[in-house]
Amino acid sequence: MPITLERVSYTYAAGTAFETAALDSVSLSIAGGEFVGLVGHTGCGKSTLVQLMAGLLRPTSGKVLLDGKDINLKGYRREELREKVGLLFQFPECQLFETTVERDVAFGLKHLPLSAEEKAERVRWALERTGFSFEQIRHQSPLGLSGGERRRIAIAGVLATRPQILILDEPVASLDPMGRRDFMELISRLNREGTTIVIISHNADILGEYAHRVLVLEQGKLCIDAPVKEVFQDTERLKTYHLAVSQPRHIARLLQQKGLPFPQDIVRYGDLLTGIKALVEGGRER
Amino acid sequence: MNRLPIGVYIPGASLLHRLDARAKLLSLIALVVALIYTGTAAGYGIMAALTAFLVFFAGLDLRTAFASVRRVVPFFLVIFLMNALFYDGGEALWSWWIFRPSTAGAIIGANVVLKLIFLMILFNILMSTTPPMKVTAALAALLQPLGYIGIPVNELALMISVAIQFIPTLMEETETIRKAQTARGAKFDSPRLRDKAQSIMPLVIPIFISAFRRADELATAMEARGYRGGKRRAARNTPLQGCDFAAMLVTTAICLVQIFAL
Amino acid sequence: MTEVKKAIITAVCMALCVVLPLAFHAVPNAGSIYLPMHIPVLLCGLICGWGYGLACGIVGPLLSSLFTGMPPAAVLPAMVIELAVYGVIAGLGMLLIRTKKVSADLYISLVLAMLTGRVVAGATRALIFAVGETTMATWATSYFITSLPGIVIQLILIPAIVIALERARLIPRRYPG
Ligand SMILES: Nc1ncnc2c1ncn2[C@@H]1O[C@H](COP(=O)(O)OP(=O)(O)O)[C@@H](O)[C@H]1O
Ligand SMILES: [Mg+2]
Repeated sequence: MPITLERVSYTYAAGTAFETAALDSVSLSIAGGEFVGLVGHTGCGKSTLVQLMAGLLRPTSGKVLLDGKDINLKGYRREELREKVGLLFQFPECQLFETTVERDVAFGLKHLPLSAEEKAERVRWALERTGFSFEQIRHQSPLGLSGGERRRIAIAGVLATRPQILILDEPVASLDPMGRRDFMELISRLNREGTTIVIISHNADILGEYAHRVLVLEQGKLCIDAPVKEVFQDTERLKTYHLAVSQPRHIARLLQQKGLPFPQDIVRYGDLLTGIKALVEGGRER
Repeated sequence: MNRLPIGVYIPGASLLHRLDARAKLLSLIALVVALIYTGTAAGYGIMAALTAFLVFFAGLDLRTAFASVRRVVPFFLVIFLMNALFYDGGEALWSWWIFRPSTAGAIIGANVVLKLIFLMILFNILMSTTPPMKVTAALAALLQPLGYIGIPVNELALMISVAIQFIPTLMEETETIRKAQTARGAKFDSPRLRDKAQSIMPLVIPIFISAFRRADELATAMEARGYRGGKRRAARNTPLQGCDFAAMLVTTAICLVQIFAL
Repeated sequence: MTEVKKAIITAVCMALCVVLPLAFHAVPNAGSIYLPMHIPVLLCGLICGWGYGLACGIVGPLLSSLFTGMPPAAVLPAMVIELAVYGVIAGLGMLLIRTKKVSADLYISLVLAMLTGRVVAGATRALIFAVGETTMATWATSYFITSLPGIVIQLILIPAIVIALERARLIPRRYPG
């Protein structure tokens, strides 16, 4: 299920004194199954862009196409969009409101054409995926849980709808390192199972480790759209956008500067390790 | 704050913008009293002339001045009709069931509506030339004497200033919650009443939880810093200028004229 | 709860008097039907007591009028009186009524507040506008029939919010244990 933006612009509060142009003629296309990272300075329009993709905002000009269909046309079925595109906001724990965890996770399923058993099964699946024991948690109030648990419940609520495209707005920003790793493993697994992932993150390591492709926004314009290895090669260019490369890429570059022969496309810890092993073995042979 | 496309305040540098908020508030009160006592054609003439003068000096155009009035036209119509149709003094023109329209009732109704229109325009002039913060600060300053009869004016001033700080944050948060629930399938824009009613819980409960969570954090921080309520030094006010006194003098004079001379 | 906490909660409720009506604009023409400004005032009275409820009932609509122009100045005085009564009676209800069940306390206080507020509002309107006779019929129509959906929503929503806040441990439980 590809999603395509054609020269999309968006202006907040258009026509008032508070007018802010947030996006300027952005065109891009994301194919089914991709894992795309979206980065850029605060206020460059990342959240605006993903909200346009999810149909929460209507472009001031331009088109958003899901599977070739314009989602902002009059006749378009919004339910279809909600079913196929899931959006997890920053601090999603704020959106919980039901009396029990089970009901809250099921909220997004209300309008889907599923039987009661199918819905119950999905809720169970989503809660187990996010690391809960379904029987233990189902009747608890989501409001009384800890911050981390509430966030996982909110994630389960989005997962339960089984979106084909899952968009995440700075999902790891306030997680501790362990929570961050668990979360990214979960997302990575969903991606391997076929879900398209679009993730906003300032964390270069996460992008290097998981993303296939990186989009860089700068003041509402899309200025880089390329595979992650390519993007992280040009450290100087990234610096002009106030962005850093991943740690492994950085280490590899330092070692290169010391004269060690490293390949250019190292962005993950795994690559770095392979590179170092190759070096060590090469040294031994010599 | 600059994200808020709301409010009627229009930044400017007119004479009215430069007047002290306390002077403007007191003048408004004087004019409201004057309005209550207005009843003759001459009286309304004075009020109309004064209002026109103020609108001109505030640098407002008439459309802005009347914008708020237009929104409540149905309300005015109801007030007018209630008086015109149900007033039981005066001579009824005819009478049927509960309706007994009378000229006296129509005159009373017209008077009430006319006064309300003036009231709204005067209030609007104040609001479009004074930032909301200054209005509340002025209100707190004017209410200081109430402290002597046991009303906790300082606490009230604190609550109001905290409330004002919270407004933009809560607005943003509300917008985010609305979008997040829409993404989860809530139907806020559905024309069906059932969908609307069902979408209220997912909107309002998270708003209150977030708001109370913020309140909790702030209160804890204040207590940790040793705030216990009670005495708080009132903000120092700048002294009033000559033009402030002039404004209050003129409005008080108009008030007295309306009460005693007309 | 400490007085500081009550004061800050009241401040937040005052802010919600401005924000909630705007939020309800997302739901077309909901303002006049759902009476969003009543919700924070009633809640403030129920949670913080009558004094704070009174403050919220007076300041809330004033702030809203200052910041958004709604309610317009012409209806502001009547609205302030009505909301102040809601805040006070809701607080007094919770002070005097203790049935050992939170929801019962809440419902009784709420209904009392909502009734008294409407009676007082009707009376002030009849007196202030000096209409020879604001008939029972017109009063009942404007205060009960038009706003019936709002009344129903408030009766469902407000206890639900209080209970949600208790669960989230943001306000103390009324009957611990
Ligand atoms: N609701 C809004 N009203 C007005 N301006 C907004 C709103 N949301 C965002 N903006 C503005 O639009 C621009 C882009 O914001 P956003 O998409 O949130 O950026 P990012 O997510 O990259 O930090 C910013 O300048 C921001 O101030
Ligand atoms: Mg953002």
